[in-house]
Amino acid sequence: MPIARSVGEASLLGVFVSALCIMPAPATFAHGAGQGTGGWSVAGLTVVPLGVVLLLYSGGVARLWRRAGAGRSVACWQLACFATGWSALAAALMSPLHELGERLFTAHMLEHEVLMVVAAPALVLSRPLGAMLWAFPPVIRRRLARAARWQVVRITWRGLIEPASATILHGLAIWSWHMPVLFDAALASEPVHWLQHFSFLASALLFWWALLNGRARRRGYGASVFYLFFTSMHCGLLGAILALSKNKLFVPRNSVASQWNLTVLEDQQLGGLIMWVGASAFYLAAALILAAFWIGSGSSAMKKVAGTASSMRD
Amino acid sequence: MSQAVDERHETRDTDLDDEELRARLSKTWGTARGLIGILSTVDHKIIGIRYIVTAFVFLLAGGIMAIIMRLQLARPDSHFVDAELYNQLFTMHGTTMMFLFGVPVGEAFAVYLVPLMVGTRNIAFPRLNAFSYYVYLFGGLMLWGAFALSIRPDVGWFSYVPLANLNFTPGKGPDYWAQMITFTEVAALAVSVEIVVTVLKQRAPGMTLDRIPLFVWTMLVHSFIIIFAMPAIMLASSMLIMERLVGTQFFNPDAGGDPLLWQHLFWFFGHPEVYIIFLPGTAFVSAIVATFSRRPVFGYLPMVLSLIAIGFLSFGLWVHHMFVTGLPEIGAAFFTASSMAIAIPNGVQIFCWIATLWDGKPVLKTPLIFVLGFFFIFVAGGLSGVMLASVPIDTQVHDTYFVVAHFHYVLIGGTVFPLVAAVYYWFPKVTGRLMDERLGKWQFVLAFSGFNITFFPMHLLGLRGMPRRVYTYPAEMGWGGLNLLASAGALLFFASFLLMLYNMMASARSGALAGDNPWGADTLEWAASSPPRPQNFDRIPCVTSGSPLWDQGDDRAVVGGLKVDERELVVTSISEARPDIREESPAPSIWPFLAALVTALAFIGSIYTPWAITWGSSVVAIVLVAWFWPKTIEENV
Amino acid sequence: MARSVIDVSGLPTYAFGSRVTPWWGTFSFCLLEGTGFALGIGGYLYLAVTNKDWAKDAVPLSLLWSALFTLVLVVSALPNFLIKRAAMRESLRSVRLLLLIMSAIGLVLIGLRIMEFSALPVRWSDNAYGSFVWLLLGLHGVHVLTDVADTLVLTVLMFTRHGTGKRFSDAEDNAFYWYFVVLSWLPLYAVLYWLPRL
Repeated sequence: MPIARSVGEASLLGVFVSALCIMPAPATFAHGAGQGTGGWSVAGLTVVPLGVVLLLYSGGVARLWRRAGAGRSVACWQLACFATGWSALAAALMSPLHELGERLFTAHMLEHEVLMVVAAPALVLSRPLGAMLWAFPPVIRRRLARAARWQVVRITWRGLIEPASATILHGLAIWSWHMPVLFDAALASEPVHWLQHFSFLASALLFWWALLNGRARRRGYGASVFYLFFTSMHCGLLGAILALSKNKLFVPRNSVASQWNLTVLEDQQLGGLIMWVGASAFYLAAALILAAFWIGSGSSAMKKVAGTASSMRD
Repeated sequence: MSQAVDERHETRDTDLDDEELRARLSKTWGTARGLIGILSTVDHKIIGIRYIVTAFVFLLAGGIMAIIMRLQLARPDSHFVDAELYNQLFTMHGTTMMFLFGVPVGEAFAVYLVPLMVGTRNIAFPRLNAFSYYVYLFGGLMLWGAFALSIRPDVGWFSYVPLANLNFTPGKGPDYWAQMITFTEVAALAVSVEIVVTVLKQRAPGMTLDRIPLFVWTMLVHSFIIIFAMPAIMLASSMLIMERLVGTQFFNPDAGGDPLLWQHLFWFFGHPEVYIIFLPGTAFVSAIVATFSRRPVFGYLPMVLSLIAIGFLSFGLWVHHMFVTGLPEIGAAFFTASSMAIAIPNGVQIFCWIATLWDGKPVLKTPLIFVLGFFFIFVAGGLSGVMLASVPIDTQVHDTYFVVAHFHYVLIGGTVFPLVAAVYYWFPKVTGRLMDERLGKWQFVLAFSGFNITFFPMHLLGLRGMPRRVYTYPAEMGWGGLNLLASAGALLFFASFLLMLYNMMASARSGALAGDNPWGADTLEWAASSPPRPQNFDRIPCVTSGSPLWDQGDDRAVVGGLKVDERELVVTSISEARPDIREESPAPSIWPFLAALVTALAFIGSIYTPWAITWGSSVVAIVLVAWFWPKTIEENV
Repeated sequence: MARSVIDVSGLPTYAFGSRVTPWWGTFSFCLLEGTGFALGIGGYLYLAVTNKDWAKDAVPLSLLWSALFTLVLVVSALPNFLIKRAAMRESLRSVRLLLLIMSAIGLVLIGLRIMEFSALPVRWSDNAYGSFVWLLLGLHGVHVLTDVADTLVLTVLMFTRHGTGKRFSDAEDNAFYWYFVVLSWLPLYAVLYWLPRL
């Protein structure tokens, strides 16, 4: 933890590097490359970046644990969170779900939601950047850490993980990509599709980082509960609009909706419902957990006060 | 940065003994005599009582409408009232009960109790509070005044378009309805803002988040729900009146609009509305159950989390009021599941209360008896709710008396029974005298039997196909017997309220003296005298546990160093309630009353000409400037 | 017998930002007004996705005045930021000057909004699209109007003997609300002016 904290605070670079590593793969090469693999998108560049991240992380953890002992400096629960987050990413981007997403709006929505409300919070909880840095040899590690301390990087990073701006950025990513023009463009062009998944994942990482690790954490998570409510409301609105729509907004080429006993419109409505009801359930759960921490935080800080109330003035 | 600049010598509370402090503070925080004084007061207790009394007057008015309807329905083929009047009656009954009684009465109790419970001297933004009361009063008078002048809305409390459009309802009734809605929701929103800020920033030092009374937590969540739900109905009612007055096309399918848009906006508010009405009831129950079980409510954290969950979920479910409007079929399972999900936090609350009673030593006084009645009725209403959450059942019984029975079980069980309990419970705090216990128990017998005799048969009537909102029915349908029973029950139920009214008036004059804490309760309002003085507390308490009056004994820590001759209160930090600022609380002012008056006139004028809004708002602006312009140089510091 | 434990006599009588109650009042009003905007946009989008002829009704709006309005509004965030800073430093000269600038900007914005209305190709009574355009533009216009009026009064106030102490906190609060007026316009601008062009 201490190492993770010291480096993690200003690791904008790290997030983007890792996100960039993960993202291009499925978008550029998975399409069409999945044939004959049972629906798995196992093109080289899908496996490699995910693998690189995995290798870096496990290498870093191995080195740290050799030095500090197993379960120290990177706790077991953090490891579990990373494993969950990484598997969710792999499941969303490599499993047959990904390919199905190109033909079925509901599957595409499911893929996005897995990225945004499962993989992102789990990865943020694991705070993997510190551990990943330790996979590098000392020279590079120091250089990376120094880069993270640059004024520009630090100010940008701090601005980005301000809960309000991270929430707005994430909301912006979600709403913009659901404009029919952009959504269709993502389905039609590989780089655009890459950009779509990248902005979903990166903004989700920022969003969850801001709510779980940043200033919101030091302030006791009260603000996080609010931002989760806010996000669940605007996602709910968007989901509701999709679910109640009577016009076909997003029409995948070669839609396979009929194979799933759905009309194209129903496919779109189902996707909207997943966003409206499904994602909201995740936000609610997260908000309740954070609220519990928040409510508990008050008096634990005040325990000392019971007899000596004068200390309350500081 | 700011600093305390206090060169002048000012008397602080630490300089005075208890007697003199009490007298000086009463003078500082008091309300002036005379008409101007009455209309200028910003004391949350005086305004809270006005709110409560006004809400009960509207309850009585709505109740009389209900009795007239029941008399009409008691026999088949009755002609006691005609179809037109019947439509007006159920519209006024629903509108009054929902907007003029249900929402305001919960906020009214919060206005009175929350500042006392969190240990502060006045509500945040007390002038806004005064303004909100007058706005509410004028809104209600506007609707009922129009009713008296035979300008009567008759399109239901939901005013569905296209029925409420100009071509189907040409009179001015729906216009008054829509403006009353916009108007009273302004009041509701203002109060919620005050409650939110009072709870977040004005808690007594040491009242950390986990020491906030459950009542106050409930009202906090309640206020947030209002803040996010009420704008929907304000938007909708403004759109409706624009549709009627200046010819917009929002709901006109021939011009690209959609009547269902009205329903979506209405129910986006309408579903949270159920919780806006119900949550104050649970707040009363939490307070009463703890006091009469002689232990804090079991499971504090689960209780608070349930409240927050209800806050979230109440916004997800609005479409379940629209199952039969042709929603996408694919969504049915989702809507049913999410509708049923809200049973979980409600269930958690019920089980926590039962566990509290189980573990405690319940004292069966009238407030607790009414709470037990609430358990029974509300759970019954919840069960029919689970049935209605299922799309096939809802489709079958839609618009029948089954639905009428369900929501009266939920709303009366969930709100009115706890409300009566709350009246008995806090009456001694407000008046200094206890209400009569024997009459209270008789009232319960009347209310409980009357309620069930009225509304249980409606389930059966609904299943036998009797539709809602019909002014009469032919004898051969065979609904006569159950309807007669229901009407008899309604009279019993109504009588129970008359009995309460008598009990209140008699007890206020000659009830047993209560003392500060007659029930041996644990929250701070019982530390104030009965009735509380204008300053609420002579010295602001300092809280070290969730049940301050039980845990602190005689050694009560207090705050010292506030000015005595100015309205100063302690502003604290949000999570830990550390004292942070000595903030000046606004003094009495006549301008909120005048602002409400001018706004009301503008709203009434707008029904007849849109220009009234333009002219009215300029006058309102002038009044507001006068309101906020500092009168003395001291107000600047 | 009660004993005095916490001495608050040394605490300030006013402060800035989220420490004071007016900030939370303003914040709550931003929340509820923001909800109103969001629902307005929601209604607009609902009609856009349920009405088959929406594309025909939704004639694109002229970009000129709205672009000027948006530009001035966004740029006004800078003097607004400076007001906030000057108010917190309690520098009366700067606050007076900046309030004058903000009042002028506000009046210009009201003028631009009037031009926006006059350039609208639809009337509110033409169709539901027109109704929504007028509603959303008007709703935001009312917010501009309210805050400009508030700024004007505050400007006058700052030039009287009242321009001290807690009034700086009011100036900061006013600046906070202006951010809301700016931020809430951006989604409205995107929806009203750009969505029909896509």
